[in-house]
Amino acid sequence: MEVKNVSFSYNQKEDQLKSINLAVEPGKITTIIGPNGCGKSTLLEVMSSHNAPQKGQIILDGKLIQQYKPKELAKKLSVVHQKNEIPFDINVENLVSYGRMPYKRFFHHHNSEEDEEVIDWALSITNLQSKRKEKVEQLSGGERQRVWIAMALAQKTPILFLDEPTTYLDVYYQFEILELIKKLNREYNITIVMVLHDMNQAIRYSDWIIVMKNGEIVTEGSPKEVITEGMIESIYGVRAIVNHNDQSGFYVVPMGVARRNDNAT
Amino acid sequence: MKKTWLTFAVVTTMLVVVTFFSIVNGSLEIGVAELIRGLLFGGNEDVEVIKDMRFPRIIVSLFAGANLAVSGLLLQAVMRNPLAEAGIIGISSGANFVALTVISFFPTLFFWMPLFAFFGGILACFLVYSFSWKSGLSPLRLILVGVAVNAVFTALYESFNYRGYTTTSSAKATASTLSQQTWDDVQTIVIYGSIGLILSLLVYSWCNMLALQDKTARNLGLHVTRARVIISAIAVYLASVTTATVGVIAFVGLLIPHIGRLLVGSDYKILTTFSILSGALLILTADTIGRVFLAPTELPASIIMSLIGGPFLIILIRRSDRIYGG
Repeated sequence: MEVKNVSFSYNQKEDQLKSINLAVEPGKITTIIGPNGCGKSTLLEVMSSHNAPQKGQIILDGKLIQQYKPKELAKKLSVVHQKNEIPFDINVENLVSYGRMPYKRFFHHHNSEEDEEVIDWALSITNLQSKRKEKVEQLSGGERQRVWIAMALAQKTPILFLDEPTTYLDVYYQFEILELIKKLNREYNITIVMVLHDMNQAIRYSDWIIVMKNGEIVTEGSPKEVITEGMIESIYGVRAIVNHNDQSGFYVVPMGVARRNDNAT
Repeated sequence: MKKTWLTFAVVTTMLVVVTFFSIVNGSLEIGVAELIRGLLFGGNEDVEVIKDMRFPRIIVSLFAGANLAVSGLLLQAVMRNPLAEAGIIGISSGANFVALTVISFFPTLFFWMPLFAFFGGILACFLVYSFSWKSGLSPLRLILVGVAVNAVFTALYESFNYRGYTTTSSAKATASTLSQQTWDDVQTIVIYGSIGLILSLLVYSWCNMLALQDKTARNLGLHVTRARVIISAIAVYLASVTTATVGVIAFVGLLIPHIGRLLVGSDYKILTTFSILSGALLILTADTIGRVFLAPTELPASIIMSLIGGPFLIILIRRSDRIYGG
């Protein structure tokens, strides 16, 4: 997937994305990081065709993303959003089965054998088999996030986008979700693009990191190349120590505010 | 699941019982045996009167209720708003105003009244959407705009009426009597209504997906805007056809879907079927009460509806924090 010279604005006055160029490498985990309002989530929305860019092109498998029919696109790319609305009484199994919608024709609502198999697969990977009849609303935050991932998996797409999948979760569930994402990538070869806030998580779970600020890509590369004390200070305005030891690999310890962060939007 | 089946069994039984009760009771009373004999072999004058007067009224009531309930249900799905209902957000009054205004200037076009009503409904719906759309639908803004649109169309209609411009009888529009229904009305509402109801049963999976947020629905391959437009059109069509036949009846479209969510859940496949049956039951019951228990005078179904519906809705809302938020 390639993003070429994409600019996007919500209000036609100020560009939320300014001439973005990037290429998503298949089979890898790409993480977008950056301060609040830098355009990370907007970029994800434009890349998943929720918003059409004013300028530039997004190309998926050699075809402009706008030229895909919604159902075709839904077989190529699935998205897990940061916030989701749940019908009050829906159970896990039924919600996950919505992931099969792109494969159904208008009058054929019943799950085929293949649909059932895929739903079972999605529920197993996300460790939800025992919860399949339970109401989504009554699950814990971490379980709920897994349900949305399972729904996206039921779409059987080669690419999965996740917008801040660990926000609102406590630390156990955060790592549980990240481990799951890693497993999806390593074992099932699903290309992952996600937005994260936590730099240590980004270092640990990404193959490639893209750093954004004010609607632009500032730098990108492997975690080791990108996450430096200088980058953290100039992008976030935070003094930090980046260190390495044999047990934990690379890690960041934020130390405090470096200066007033005038550019933050 | 068990609860759902039980609910459907109860509603269906009540529908049959009330229909029979309604046929044999009223200012003209008749035994069941006599009725069946009269229907099969003819020759009974009372049965003939019932056939001409009461049957059309019952059939129109059933369809009016089903149409309005489903219309409300679809509007709620598409506007993601529990308060959306044709009577509240101005669709019925828009339909009513346009239809009656056109007919009053061109009385010969009477046959096309449902069509003009549909134009009026679409106009109102379009106004509500376009004035409340601001990079997304805010539930509160939508209802406020809807109430305003409703007020304007109601006032327009009333000002025409007040100055005596309308040449058709205004009784239909103001108090929505179901009392003067003929077999012609039956034909109109059954044909137009059935089309709308069948369409509504075809779009349930879209409604289910719209219950997630738009983004998610789009990720699942739904053409969100197209689905919105089509579902809205079906809802407006059902409300307009009904308004053209029986005038404005508020509240059914609000009450029935909410009862449905409590009893059978949020799946639109089941909810739509439930709304058809219970909407029919509700209006027929209201009309029968108004006709039978106050005979020989009667009270319009719309008034009975509000009298029963208001308190009932309040009780439901008090008892269901889960759906309406703490």
